[in-house]
Amino acid sequence: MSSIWSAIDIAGTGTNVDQTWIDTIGGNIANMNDAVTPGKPVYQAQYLSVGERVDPSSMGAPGVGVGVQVNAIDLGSAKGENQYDPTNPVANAKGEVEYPVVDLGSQMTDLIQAQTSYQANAKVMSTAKDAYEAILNIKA
Amino acid sequence: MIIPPIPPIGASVAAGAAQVAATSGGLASAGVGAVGGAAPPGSFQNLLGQAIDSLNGVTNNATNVSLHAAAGTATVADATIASTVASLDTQLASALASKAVNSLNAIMNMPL
Repeated sequence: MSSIWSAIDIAGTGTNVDQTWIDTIGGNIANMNDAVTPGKPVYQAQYLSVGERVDPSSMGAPGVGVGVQVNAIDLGSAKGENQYDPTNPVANAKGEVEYPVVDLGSQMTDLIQAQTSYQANAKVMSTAKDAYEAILNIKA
Repeated sequence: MIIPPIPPIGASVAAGAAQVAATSGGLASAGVGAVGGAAPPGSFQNLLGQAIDSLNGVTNNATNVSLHAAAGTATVADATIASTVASLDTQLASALASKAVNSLNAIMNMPL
C-alpha cells in the first residue's frame, strides 16, 4: 500500500483490524453455548494478537508507521466447563456436558472497545479527507 | 430492439481483480505514458497524458473494489477508502490542470 494519501490508508488498516476483531467477538458469542460431550473437542474462544504493520513497500514519511495488522489469532482454553445436564442429548454417562469458556461480559466490553476503535479510525479517515480537500481547494 | 445480456457479476469481479492488483500503486507508480510518440518526455502533453492514465487507474480501482465489496470479497471500509482516494486524486488532477492552464494563459497574455 503506497499512496500520497497515506493517512487514509493507515486509518484503513485500523478499520480492517477492528472489523476482524468484531468478527471474532461475534464468533465467540455465537459459539458460547456449543455443548459437547466431555472429552470431545470444544469451541475455543478466539482472541486477536495485533501489532504495528510492517510494510517495506510503504512510501510514507521516513520513520512514520504504516498502520496496524493482525499478527495472529490466539485461541482460548481448550478445556471447557462441565455442567450437569442429564437431559441433554450429548451428555455423558455422568449426565455432564462441556461448554466453551467464553465470558460474555468481557466479550461485550471488547465489543464496545472494538466499536469505539472502528469509529475513531473512521474519524481519522474523514478528518484526513477534509484536510486534503482543504489544500486542494486553494485556487488562487 | 435487442437488449444485450448483462454479464454475470462473477465475471466482472474476476476481470476486476487483475486490475486491482495492477493499479493499487496509486499516483506514485501508475500511468506510464500511453500518450503518443512525438511529444518529448516531460512535455506538458506527456505529463497530462500520464496524469489522466493514472487517474483512470485509480477510478477503475475504486469501481473494482466497490464490486468486490458488493460481492463480499472486500470490506465496505475498503470500498469507501478507494472511492475517497479516487475523489481526492480527481480533485488533485483538476487543480493541477487548472494551474497549468492558468500558467499558459499568463504567458500567452504577456504584452510583447
